[in-house]
Amino acid sequence: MDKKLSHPRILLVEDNPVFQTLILKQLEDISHDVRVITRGEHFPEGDDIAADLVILDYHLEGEVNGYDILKKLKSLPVPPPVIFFSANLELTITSSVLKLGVVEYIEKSIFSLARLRESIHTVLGLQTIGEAV
Amino acid sequence: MTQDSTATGATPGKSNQNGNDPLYDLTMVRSVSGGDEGFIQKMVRLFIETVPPGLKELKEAAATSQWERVAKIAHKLKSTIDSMGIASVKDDIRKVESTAKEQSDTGTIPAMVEKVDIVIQQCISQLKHDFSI
Repeated sequence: MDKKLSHPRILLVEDNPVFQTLILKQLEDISHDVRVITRGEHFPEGDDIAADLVILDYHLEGEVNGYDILKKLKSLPVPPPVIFFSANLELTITSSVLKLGVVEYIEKSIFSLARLRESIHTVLGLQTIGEAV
Repeated sequence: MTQDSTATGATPGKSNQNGNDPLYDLTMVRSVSGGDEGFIQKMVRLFIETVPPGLKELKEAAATSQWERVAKIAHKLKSTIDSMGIASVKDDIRKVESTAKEQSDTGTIPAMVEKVDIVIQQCISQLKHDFSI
């Protein structure tokens, strides 16, 4: 495994406290370096982003949404991989997100947490269930 | 914890308040928990603490015809309601969101919001009783 990804730095952008907790539970054996951001305006700038993975919701507290953040990330010289995890977006928003480019767009629900976990493992190059020796 | 205890979401050995069937189903929360009872308690507390302010905001927004705000709050509540398996208002909260978003037939929204509020308040009472909170 890549040395960097043995301690992956994850940015979780999610304003719903219930989902924050559910996602953090998925991450607890993957990384101890998880920063949680609830307001779009609080998303870091430039080198302060320093993440190996960004998990991004669309609806956030404040005026800046997940799409605005995605645009900002895509303007970086080396953008981090992004998993978009959001519920029932309008088709125009979904297509805009996909057009900008994300590793995966997952419909947010408690039922899709396993899919999110699989995607995180894939992005970070970790063993997934079934690959364990 | 036995497998049977996950079926209804109720804590084994405890009856629900007033002998009513539980309005919630923690099957998915238990599934995500990996058997961590502390996590389940945390989720229940989080629900009890964070949902009432959202409901209050939803009622205020509906009473003052702020439909965009109603749609945004309903969107956020929807995934939380699903996570706690509150099936009896699953469709209502979606209808509130879509009706408010489309701003058509908005006269039906206050009654739906009222139903969601009543069911969730009952659900919170049951959770407090069943989890001795």
